[in-house]
Amino acid sequence: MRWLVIKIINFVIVLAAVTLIVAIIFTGPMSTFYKSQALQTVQMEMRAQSHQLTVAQNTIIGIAKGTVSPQDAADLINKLYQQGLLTKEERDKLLSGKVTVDEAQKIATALPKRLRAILTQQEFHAYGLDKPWYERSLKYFWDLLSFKSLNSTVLTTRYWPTQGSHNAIDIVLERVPFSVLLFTTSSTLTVLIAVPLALWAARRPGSWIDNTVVAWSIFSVSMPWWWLAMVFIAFFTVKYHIFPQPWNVNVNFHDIKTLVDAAALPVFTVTILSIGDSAFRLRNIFLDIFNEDFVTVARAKGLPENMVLRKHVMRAAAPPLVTIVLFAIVLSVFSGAIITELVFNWPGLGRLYWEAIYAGDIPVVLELTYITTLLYLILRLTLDILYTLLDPRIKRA
Amino acid sequence: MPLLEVTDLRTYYYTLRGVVRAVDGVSFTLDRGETLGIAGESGCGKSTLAWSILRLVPPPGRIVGGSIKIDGMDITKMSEAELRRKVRWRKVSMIFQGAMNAFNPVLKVGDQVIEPLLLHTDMTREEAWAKAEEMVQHVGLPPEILERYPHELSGGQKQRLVIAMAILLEPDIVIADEPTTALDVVIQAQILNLMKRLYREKKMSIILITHDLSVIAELAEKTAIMYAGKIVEYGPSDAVFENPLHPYTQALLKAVPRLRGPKERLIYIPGSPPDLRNPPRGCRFYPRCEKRFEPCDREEPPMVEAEKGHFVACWLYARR
Amino acid sequence: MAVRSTAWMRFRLRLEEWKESFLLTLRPWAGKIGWALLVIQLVLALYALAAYYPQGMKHYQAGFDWFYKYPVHVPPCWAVKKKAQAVRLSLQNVKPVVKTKTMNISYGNIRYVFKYYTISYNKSFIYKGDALPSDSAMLLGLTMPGGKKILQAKIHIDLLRPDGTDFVFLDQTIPVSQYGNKSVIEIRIGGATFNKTLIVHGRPVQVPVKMPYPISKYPIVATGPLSLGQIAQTLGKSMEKVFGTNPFKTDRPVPAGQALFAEVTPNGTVVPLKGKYTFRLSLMYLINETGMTPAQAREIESRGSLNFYFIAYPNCYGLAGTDTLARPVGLGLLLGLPYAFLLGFLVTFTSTFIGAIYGSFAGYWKDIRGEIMMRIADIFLSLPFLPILIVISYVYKVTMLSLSGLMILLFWAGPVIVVRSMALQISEQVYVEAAKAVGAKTSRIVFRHVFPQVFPYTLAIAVLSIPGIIVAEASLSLLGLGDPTAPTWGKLLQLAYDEHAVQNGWWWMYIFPGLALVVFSATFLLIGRAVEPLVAPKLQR
Ligand SMILES: Nc1ncnc2c1ncn2[C@@H]1O[C@H](COP(=O)(O)OP(=O)(O)OP(=O)(O)O)[C@@H](O)[C@H]1O
Ligand code: SF4
Ligand SMILES: [Mg+2]
Repeated sequence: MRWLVIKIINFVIVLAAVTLIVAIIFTGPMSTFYKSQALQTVQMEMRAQSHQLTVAQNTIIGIAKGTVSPQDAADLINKLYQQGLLTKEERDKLLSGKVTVDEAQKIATALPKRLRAILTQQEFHAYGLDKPWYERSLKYFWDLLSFKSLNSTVLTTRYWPTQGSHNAIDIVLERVPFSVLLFTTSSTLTVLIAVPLALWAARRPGSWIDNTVVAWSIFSVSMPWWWLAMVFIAFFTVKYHIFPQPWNVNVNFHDIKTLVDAAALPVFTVTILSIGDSAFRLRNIFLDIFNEDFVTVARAKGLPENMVLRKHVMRAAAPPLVTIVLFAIVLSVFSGAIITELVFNWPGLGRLYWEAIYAGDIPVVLELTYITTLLYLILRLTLDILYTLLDPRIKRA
Repeated sequence: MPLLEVTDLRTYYYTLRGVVRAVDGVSFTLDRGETLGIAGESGCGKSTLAWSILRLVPPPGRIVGGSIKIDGMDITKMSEAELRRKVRWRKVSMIFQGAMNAFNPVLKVGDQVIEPLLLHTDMTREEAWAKAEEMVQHVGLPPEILERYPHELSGGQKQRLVIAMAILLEPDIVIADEPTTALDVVIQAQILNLMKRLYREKKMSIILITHDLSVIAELAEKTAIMYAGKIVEYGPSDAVFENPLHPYTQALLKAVPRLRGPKERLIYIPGSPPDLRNPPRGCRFYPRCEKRFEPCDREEPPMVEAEKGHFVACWLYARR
Repeated sequence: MAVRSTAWMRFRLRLEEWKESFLLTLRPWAGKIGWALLVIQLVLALYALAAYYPQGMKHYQAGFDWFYKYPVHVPPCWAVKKKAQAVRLSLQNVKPVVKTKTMNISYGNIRYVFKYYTISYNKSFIYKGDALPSDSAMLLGLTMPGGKKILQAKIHIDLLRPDGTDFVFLDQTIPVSQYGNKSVIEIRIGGATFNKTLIVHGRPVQVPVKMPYPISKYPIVATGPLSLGQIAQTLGKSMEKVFGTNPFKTDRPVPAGQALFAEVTPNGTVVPLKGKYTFRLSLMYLINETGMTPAQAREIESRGSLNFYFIAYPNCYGLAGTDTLARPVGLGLLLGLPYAFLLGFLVTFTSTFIGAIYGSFAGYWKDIRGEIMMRIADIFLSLPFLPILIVISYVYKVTMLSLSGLMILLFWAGPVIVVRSMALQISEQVYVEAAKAVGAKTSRIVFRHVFPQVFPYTLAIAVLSIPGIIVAEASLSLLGLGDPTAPTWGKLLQLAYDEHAVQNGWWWMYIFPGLALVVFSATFLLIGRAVEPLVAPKLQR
């Protein structure tokens, strides 16, 4: 069990480091974002206090003109002084009543400016904007780790839990099921198809099926997946109406039929693309395993061919298979399979990237990056653990 | 009737760069309880010969001619299923070259050892396991070792396990392809002693493949010397070692270092073995032979019985 | 001397080795194709650089004058069976016909002289294209005298068609200003997309009169007293007479720019009308020449002139068509090539270099230092590349170079694990131990013994990662990020996506850039796979 603990500690370290990197990248934009929020609050405060401000101004001018006695206004003047809106000299002058109208006018006009400055400073302090950048980075780092809720500027939730929520984390989380649905389905299909295909190719290296696997692997890695998605959309939905046109459907989890219809083409596309790479890698693994002595030994023992495959070849291929699934997923995140969601109008994380970027919604981009990374790391950890369980050779390490 | 009769066996590899004639017209016989040693340089086709006897030549290799008769059954003409049921491991088992890789790294060795028992007998798993434990003790290993994974065993332990596995069903023939290479000298000796003991006890025929002539001298009753896909000399071990006839055998014996006896300079055979894709037309040893003469490079020398039971393929002994 | 000669010998040996390995990679068909593709693309990239760097590249991304030469989003010519005829007309060699009609009116003892002065041009051409042009455009330059002496001005432009119908472009009076008029009107009469509305993007652009053809990005531009709306209205009305519907108003399949040459057959299909077309233009004004000397009158009369250009755009272009900005797609493919090479080579080679050095040290140091180095590399390997890339290029606007730097930052750890395991083995070799025993410096050992052995292998592996980099850039571009000034293939794909090329069936806008990406990436995969077994003896079979 020690290896598990070590792996989890490792995971936490990596997670912390990655989060820190994300936090540092976002320090600039987040500060800008908070600044605008702070200024908005200041504006609101100013509006709320405008009446009191007018009263104060009138009182001050009144003292100068002699319509208000300084004794009556003493409370107010002291309060203003405590708020920092008046200097000591000004207070003394006003309290003593020996103030000219000009001076009073000057003080009165300066009041709103001073109030704004004080409020701004307060708000900046509240948002931590007066701290140096690394402290801010650390703060955002901690906010991310503790899932502190953050309000989006433009986007709102559309599906779950309630529509119209501005919580950035909710906005991201409600898209996760869509991405998960798309990619688990296609990964499962990929494994189900790629394994027999690779086996078939590896049994007859150099045959047409083998050549097809090799060639397709080259193509599938060479192209942006969303590009093939565009081609497929043009072919299967515009030219032939086999699948619904992505821009005409609105998927959600209540209408299962539409959901399945809309998912068909994305799943198909992602599957046949990820088969390319996976089948090729698997084929190489199978080729290596077929050349291993233990397979010949198994045959020599008189094991029928299907048992050799099932018991020895497949079992030996299981750990690398996990790596291949991992690779397929890395490739999805890396070569833009998540971007296919954009082209397919599929409301997953990939499309949310586009929406958030076009809307300039920085909090959503931040949470999105963080949560994608988190999911990605969790997935890697899971597969890593699975690999370790499957391969007795590395358990001790 | 001999237990094993190989006649004019030819096994070729059809590679992209040409046809490799790894075994090209090999004939020999093996009687019950007899030990045959096959020696030859690396790459001369020894392993291919062994695989051919189990009909397990790896692709792109193929048995293209000749016959292999075990108890009178020609296995080159058998169906795959029949071969599996009747021959493999039952009649012929094999100790593979490089026992390091003979076990599937992700399965417990015990599971792999009992596989033949489950397959060829009606034993339950428990019975098979018990039998395997017994066999494991027989080769001098603790029975718990069956619970381990291959990577947790040393090379010598694995080799012993492989031997245990090979004799588990008490087959008629055990083919041991370099059972001791890649092991250190002490363990080599242990393994050889073990094999010696076992074949005496179990009365099995053994084909011992090695390029270490001293091993053959110690264990084998008959010796065959292979060169470039052919057997060039074949006879009782005593005869072959005392009175080597073929120039290649002579050279080979000179190249063997001796611990005892007068210190001679080691003599290496100059040149390198021929390319098996297009071997020399006449005698295949011709380019390296010290005694070559006029007909050697034109015609292949026939196999002749120079002494009783001592065959050699060399123009020096053939009448024309 | 002796030292140099051994070094030279060693170099010669290396060279021989390289030559041999190279020849070996040529053996399999994959290697042959890969190298051939690489050479072709390198040549093309160099040509693109020589011919278009840097102005041409900037121009491709930012220029608005593509409309001047090319039709908008037409398919490649090999995909079009029936071809339209391109028409380009100007009044340059046309002799104007001047007609005058003088009226003398006496009013009391004052004699007034009024003169109708008409200047007209006729220009004919034969249209024999098998299909309708994709669009038409015209540029009209009008110069008119002004002042109190001009009482009235009128302009008339129409197109007389082979079947006798005529389409009137303009037939209106021109308000007369005090100082005379200089007016330019530029019309893109309407391409295939603009069939619903004529005046789609109406950003006026000042066009100098001497410009021979329309140059702006936008379909319609006018300055001066002539109004575009007027043209649309007039032309629409006269087309309505012929076709029964007004192409400017209705959502008809044939837009006005094509309808100029169209004929509706009895069964309702629209076919090009072949034959002789004539543009008739006339400018008329009424001058009060009372009290003018003949010379003065002539001077005023001669200040009026018309300048007219007309283009009918072909319905196909080149080998790869044009996009919605009227840019030739083929040129975009060519210009994207150097960027692909820059990005791919810079990122892979630099990051491999860094990764190989890093991994060599990490493998050489078997203590805590190596451990820490691996932890750090692990963090970089765990980063989800594309999201981070997206985010950084979103937050900080990137150029091509800074994007490369960014990718290097994210990719350098790629080869580290493999390199380290190789370095671990190498550093256990006798000669390394010997070097250590002699007291050689760590850096010297690593650079002399470890690095040279791991680098070729990692390089071959790195070549396999070039596709990923190019594809990542394209993905960035699709999201509207990346260097906006660089015409990469990703940018072409972005345009196709933004302009809904898929929905509209403009397949050439996304098929060709995508294919370019595939060919470019496949080149390196083919080479990499041919090289891999040579540098990695373990994989040799
Ligand atoms: N799978 C294969 N494909 C092509 N050629 C092969 C294959 N296996 C073996 N060969 C060739 O066949 C010849 C005989 O190989 P084999 O393994 O039988 O030699 P060997 O005598 O067992 O050598 P060693 O003593 O090294 O084990 C060699 O020249 C080898 O190159
Ligand atoms: S046949 Fe000739 S070449 Fe061959 S071994 Fe005998 S003497 Fe030598
Ligand atoms: Mg062998």
